[in-house]
Amino acid sequence: MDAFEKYMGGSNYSAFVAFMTVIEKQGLSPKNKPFFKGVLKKTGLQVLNSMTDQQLVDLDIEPGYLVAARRKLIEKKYTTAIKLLNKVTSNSYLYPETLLLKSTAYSFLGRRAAAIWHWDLCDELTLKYQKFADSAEERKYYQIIKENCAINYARDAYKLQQYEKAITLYNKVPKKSYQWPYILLEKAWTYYQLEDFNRSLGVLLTYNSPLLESYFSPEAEVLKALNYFKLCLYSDSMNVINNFYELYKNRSEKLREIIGKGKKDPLYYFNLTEKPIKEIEKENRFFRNVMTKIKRSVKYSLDYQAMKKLEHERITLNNTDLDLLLFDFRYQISHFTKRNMYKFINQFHSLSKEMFNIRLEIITKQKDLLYEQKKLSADRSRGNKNNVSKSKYEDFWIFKDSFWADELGDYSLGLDSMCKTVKSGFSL
Amino acid sequence: MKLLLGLILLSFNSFAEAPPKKNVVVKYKQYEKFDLGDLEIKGSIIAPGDLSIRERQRKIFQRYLYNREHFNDEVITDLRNLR
Repeated sequence: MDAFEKYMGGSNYSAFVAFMTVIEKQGLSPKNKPFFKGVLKKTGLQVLNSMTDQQLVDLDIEPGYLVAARRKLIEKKYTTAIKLLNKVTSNSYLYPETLLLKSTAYSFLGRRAAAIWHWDLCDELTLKYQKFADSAEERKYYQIIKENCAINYARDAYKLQQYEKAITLYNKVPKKSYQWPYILLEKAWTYYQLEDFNRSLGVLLTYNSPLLESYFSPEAEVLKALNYFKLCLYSDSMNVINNFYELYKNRSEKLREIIGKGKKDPLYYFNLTEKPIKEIEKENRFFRNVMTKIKRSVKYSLDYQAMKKLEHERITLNNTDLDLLLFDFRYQISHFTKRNMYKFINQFHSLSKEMFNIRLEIITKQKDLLYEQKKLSADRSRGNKNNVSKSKYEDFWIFKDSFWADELGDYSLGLDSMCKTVKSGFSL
Repeated sequence: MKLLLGLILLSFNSFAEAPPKKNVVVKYKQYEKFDLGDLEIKGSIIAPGDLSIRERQRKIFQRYLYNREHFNDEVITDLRNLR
């Protein structure tokens, strides 16, 4: 049975492997191009990840150019990436993703007008592509592209210190989105830059809700400490710092212990993701949250779904030609999981230094107050409604120890700043 | 012999001309007062005459606190994780 027959029979992964055998010998003929593109649309572009840049370009099809361009973008070769992306026309189902990559490349090159033009087009076109999508999965894919365009536009505005604009763009991402929990931290940073420290703390408070328990981030703790520090609430800031060392040090050590066991087995991390949640929870609740966070990511979901389809085809057709591809898929998931775990540990270590700096700064400030025979003006209060800044479209509700899904991300604290000083009335 | 006699006679003559011995007593002042302010020293003043210490301004150390200037790494991570 040749590649074409396998494709027509719905055995997409078998068809891909058969096509690749032909391509390695003769290259991709113009006659086979539409069929091979059809196969790739069904399997997803992950199957091309093991090909070299030259092999991808030699295919002379849109998916090949897109994967090659994405690599060039990661390698910071933006001009080459744009040249490759120009090969993808608006007729292709991959065009919205092309707009996302192009806008990113233009943004990194500092060509802001071109970047904005592509972001706007991405926002507009993804809606049209969604209408003509064949499946719910494809609609979801376009939705993710649309959200990524808005997020990258917001990040660009942040970089250019256009913080108000960045907030407006971040608000375009719906709360139901997969990306939303991750951008909360970025939004909190934006409020911090606007010196709305109460709002920044409120946004970070969202991570305390049971729904977002697994989306913890060490950086959120650093930002929390900085916010308290800017409000001159030194004891609160110190509490956050002390908790950070107590909580995350143990977590980091536990994670290091777990990942240290998998140095020899290339699929060790993939096998960890396959363990049932209840079993993982028995080991450690924190580790369970790490795994949940990884499993909820877009990358993991796409790869896992594709791997399951491939696995099913391998078993149903008893096609041993798929073994290598199946191993490659599992290895990609394993690598992704490993990278995420190491990222957490590395982040903890780099941020520990930053926390130490904040601690030193607090000590310095307190020492200065003592030498100058001054003290902070106000006593620690529970906050005041007057300290909550809100737009004309926002209402005020008091938080009563419970998190409501529609309120998540919209919290604000009302703490008084204690930064004014008065004479302390005692001398050394 | 004549020469020897002559020398003896001459030596007697020199003894007769030596001045009589005197007891010299040096007396120091039992109390002496020095007024340093009244002393005049010739020359120009080259060192600062003011001995007071000026208050030094406290050194303010500029400690770098963590700040996020961009989210470039997150942009790349998202692109990497798109597929």
